Parts: sequence; structure tokens; C-alpha cells
Amino acid sequence: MSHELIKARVASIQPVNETTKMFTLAPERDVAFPPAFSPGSHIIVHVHDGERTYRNPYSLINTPSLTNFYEIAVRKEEDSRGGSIMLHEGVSEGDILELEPPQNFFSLDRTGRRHVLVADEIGISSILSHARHLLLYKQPFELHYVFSSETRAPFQQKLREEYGDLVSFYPEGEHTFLNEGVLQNILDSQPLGAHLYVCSPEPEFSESAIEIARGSGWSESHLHWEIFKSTGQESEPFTAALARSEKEIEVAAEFSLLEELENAGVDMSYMCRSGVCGECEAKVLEGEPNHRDSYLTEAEKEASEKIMTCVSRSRSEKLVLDL
Amino acid sequence: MQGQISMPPPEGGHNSAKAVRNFPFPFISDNYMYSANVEPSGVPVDNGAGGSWGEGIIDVNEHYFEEIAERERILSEDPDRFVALPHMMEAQWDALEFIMETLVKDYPEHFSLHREGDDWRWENRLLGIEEEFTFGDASTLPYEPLEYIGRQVQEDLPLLDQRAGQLFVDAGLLTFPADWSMAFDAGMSFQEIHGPVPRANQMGVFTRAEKFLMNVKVDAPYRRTNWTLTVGPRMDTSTEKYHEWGPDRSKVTFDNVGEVVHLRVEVQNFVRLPRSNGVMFVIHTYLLSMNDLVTVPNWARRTHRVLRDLPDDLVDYKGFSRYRDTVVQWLAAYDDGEEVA
Repeated sequence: MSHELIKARVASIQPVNETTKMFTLAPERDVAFPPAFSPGSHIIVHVHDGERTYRNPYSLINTPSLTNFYEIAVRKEEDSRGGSIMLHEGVSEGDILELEPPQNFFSLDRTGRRHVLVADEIGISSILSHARHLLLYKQPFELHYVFSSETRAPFQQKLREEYGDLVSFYPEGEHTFLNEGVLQNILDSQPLGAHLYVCSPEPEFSESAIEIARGSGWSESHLHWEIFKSTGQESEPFTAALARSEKEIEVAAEFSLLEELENAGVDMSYMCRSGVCGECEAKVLEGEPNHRDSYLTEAEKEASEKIMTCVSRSRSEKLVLDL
Repeated sequence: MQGQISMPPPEGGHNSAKAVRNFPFPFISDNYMYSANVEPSGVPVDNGAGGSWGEGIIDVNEHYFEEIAERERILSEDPDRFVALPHMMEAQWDALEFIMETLVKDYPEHFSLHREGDDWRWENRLLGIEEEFTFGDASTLPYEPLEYIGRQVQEDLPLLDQRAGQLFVDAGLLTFPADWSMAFDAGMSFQEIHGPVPRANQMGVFTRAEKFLMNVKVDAPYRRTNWTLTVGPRMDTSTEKYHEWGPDRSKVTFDNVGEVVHLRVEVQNFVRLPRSNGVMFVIHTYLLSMNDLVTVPNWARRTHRVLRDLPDDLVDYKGFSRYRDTVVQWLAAYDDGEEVA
């Protein structure tokens, strides 16, 4: 699919806390953005660093129906990975950024009778637009915010002001929330027809939360989760051998397979860059992929015949791809 | 696509010479089989007859007034042609916004839109409509948003909700469907609706198609064509009206093929709706009589071959088993066997 880039002006950069900055992006000139976005959407920001282009997904956090600007929260990653560092240190107000129009793989289910939003740390940024939309349209919802330290929990004050009783905070962190019955109690008190939305930088958090809901008999259609892609996940380097083009590519620890393929000039199709849409699939001829996507079924993952190149990596030193 | 709307000739056929020349002829080979024949919208297609189609997503053409009137008549007789489940209200506003903005961009001489926040003023000079309304407040329009704007375009407009990894046809305005019913299908999933299609399901066409549709992006619509034959010219071949058009199929004779048998082509555009994350189908139906079709020699050759070789189950599904042989015999005279590039 083609990617028409939008040029956006950085209208303001505001620190949210020690590690996170909020960027407000406005139309470059007097041109409207794509008309609107739906709650749960993200954009992909293209950040150039010398030869390389980072294409990082960021959730839109402003109220979806106010359409003349976009807000994103960018957490500076501790490791040396480029995109977020570049945005934190290399971009100033007035600069022009290139971005892809909003897309949504974490949509609100509008048939839901009640919406239970659970955010873990920076995962709050994927949940915010849902909360704002639900508040604006007076839909029944509640927001639960889990974190282990203040520096990892942006927007606390703002949430208190905007949502009052609708928001609860869990500063004692994920262990208590997941393993000591807190989430269980929240789920057990919901009416039929409620939907659960979970977002965390840690896949394990979302998986555990969803597993608890399943265990309580929640139907699959009422469970929604997004893994807020933490680019700083510990990763091992590996080699990708491209069978058709007879090339070998070294995938460094801090880059994704998709990024290295793009960097090597392979024309890859992609959309979400978060392992949910299935667009950047490649066929695996040899080697054992380390699947980190939420697109392939468990059976497909076990078969090891396909890989989502945007998030998944390799368990074997070499992965031979049909590219 | 701009300028005065001309009218089709009062007698002798459904289309003007210009409309024939720009007909969206659907066959790209001598054999028709289901395929994921999708491509980006808005790119004009050379149809091999010196004309082209597909420059825009909404087509205001020489049939505008007659089809708007026909739609009005059908809706007053059968209000169920418009259906919208309650959770589709935001998608309806999305649809209205997209259609208004598209009309203004492509036909500024006929339509205008002024927006001050949520206070909108819409003008459709073709129909003499001036409307001030509040975007997002359905009580300020005479109809629900999709029905309101749907009554001002020629296209059928199903709206699909995307949830639980599937698409559901939860709203729509359809007066010109090819043998289906909006009221019957409302609330069904994309897979359920396509259950009856022979071969395509076994080929996995609809699983792939649904995945594709769920990945269509804002501002990057896609399109495809679909086709069948219709005895007419007749736009409303809905299931509701089967008792009217069904019997016509037994009235096709070798002598009247050219006049009554029409190639019916749907140009279907798929648009991601930005506020609701739904998908809108924008379906424009075009009819071309066999008399008009054979004015383009390559269309005649190709149509003859496609209809002759189409497997029986597909002919049956498309609904022209009763007169396929008659049409093929009639078209044979226009097929000299020469290769069509």
C-alpha cells in the first residue's frame, strides 16, 4: 500500500515528566490534516538520521473529534535507539516532520455497553484517546492506570482533573494489580456487554491481563489489547539471508528486521509497524522466528513458515527468507 | 467530469454516445474468474474504446436526475432501503463528510460547503438544496446523515463496522443492488453475506478480501468492479423487487437481446472512514445495452468469450442462466475470433 506523507509543523514541545515529551503537530501551512481520526489511532512519524529513516508509530492522544492538530507523547528510550532520541534531542518547535495518516488497530467497539480501560505506564498514550472520546460522548467507562514509579506515569495530574472518579491509580505496580486480585475484582463487577482494553509496553502485562479476563469467562470479541511497541526491548542481533535476491543482511539489536530490510533497499509493504496488520509478512524458508506479533495464529507461529518483519526476530542465528 | 450535465438521448437506448465511450468495461481478459481485482481509487482507466472511467469516487453523470428521482420513489415506497444500527451514527457523519467534501472538490460548479466549526452550510445547486445544520447533531437534518446525503448521489452506500477482527454491514442506503437486500443483510458479517457465492469461498477470496478491506487506510481508498447481466434498463434489481424483474428474464429472445440485455457493472470504491474507523462501500451501477456494447468491436469479442466460457454455477449465481445461450448466440456474430489485446 502506498504511503502519502503529510508534512506537519511541530507547534509545541512540552515536557510531561523527566522521560516523556508531548509534541503538538499542526498543519504545515493552511492545509487541513486528514479530516479526523478514531480513538485508538496511531500515526507513523518518519525521522531522518543521516542515511537512515526511522518510521516510529506513536499513538494520537488528543480528543479524536478535534481535528486540526495531533498530539503524541514520546518517551525517550534509555538505550541508543534512534527515533525517540532524535525527536527528543534533534527536533525543535517550528521544525517540519513527515508522517503517515492515522490508522487504527486498537479501535473502540461501538457496540460495547461499558468500556474498561487499563493502561500500564506509557501504555496510557494508546488509551487516552479512548477515554477522551468516551467522556465527550458520555459513554459509560472507567480508566485504570498502573505504574511502578512516578517517572513512568505521565499525565497523572491531567487525568485526575479530567476524569475525577472515573480514573483509578495503582502506583504499587503490575504485580499487585495482576496477581493479587485487583484486576479480577474490577472485571467481576462489570455488567454484561462490557469491553476490556489493555495497553502496556510489556507484552507480558497485556497477556496476563487478557488471560485473567478469559479465565473469568469474557468472550474473545470483548477483549482488546495493543502492545505499545517499546523500541528498547532487549534483542539479539541475527542474520537475515534473502534467498531470491541472494543477499545477507545483519539485523542489529537496536533495529527491526523490517528496518534493516528497508535500509538494504528491499521494497517492503507495511502498515502498522506494530505486529497487528499482517502487511509486512515474509515467508520463512529456514530458521526459527521469534514471534512478537499479534497477527499470526498460535498454529501459524508454531509452523514457523511466516514472520511479521516489523516486530518479530529470530531464535536461530540465521533466518532464510523468501525475499 | 465537470461542466453541464447532459442528458441521455430521449429515445434509442440508455446512454449517450459519450457515456458509452466512458463505460467502465470490466473484462480484462477473455476469461472471467474471481480475483482480488483491487487497485487504488481515483486513477483513470483506459477502457479500450477511446474513453476512460474512474477519475473520481462519486460520479455525477447524465443519469443524475433520473436516478435521484428513482431513488426517491423507491425510498418512499420502501423506507427499509435505508438501515442504520444505533452504533453507526458516527460512521454516518463520516460518510456525509466524505461525500460532501468529495462532491465539492470534484464538482465545484454544482456543490459548495461552508464549515465554521460544527456549523455547516451545504448547497446542492443541481437539486436546489440549501441546508444549514450542525455537524454531529442529527436532529438538524431532515433525515439521518447517511440517508440525507445518499438521496443526493447516485451511488449505493453500505457502511461497515470493523470490530472483533471482522467487518459487519451495520448501515447502508441501497436502492440499486444486484439481487441483494440491505434490510435482509443488515447486521450480518462480511463472511455471512458472501456465504452463497460459489467457488470464491473455496478459493479463500472473501477471507483475503476482508483482510484487505480491514487494512484500507484513511485517504487511500481502493476500488474494484463487479458485473452481471440485467434485463432492462433497470436499476432496482433488489431482492425485494424480484417479483418484478425476475420474470423479465424469460422474455429475452434472439430478436430483442440488443435492446433489453444490459451489461451491469458496479464500480465499488472502498473508503476508510476516519472518525468511526468504519469502511464505506461507494457503489456506482452502470448499465450498457448489448446494442451499445457491440459498437466497440473488442468489447463485443471479449464479452462473447467471457459469457460463452463462464462456468454454469457462476452463471446461475449471477442470475442469467435462462438467457445466457441466447446472448452468446447473438454476440457470436460480432466475434471474428481475432485476438483482443
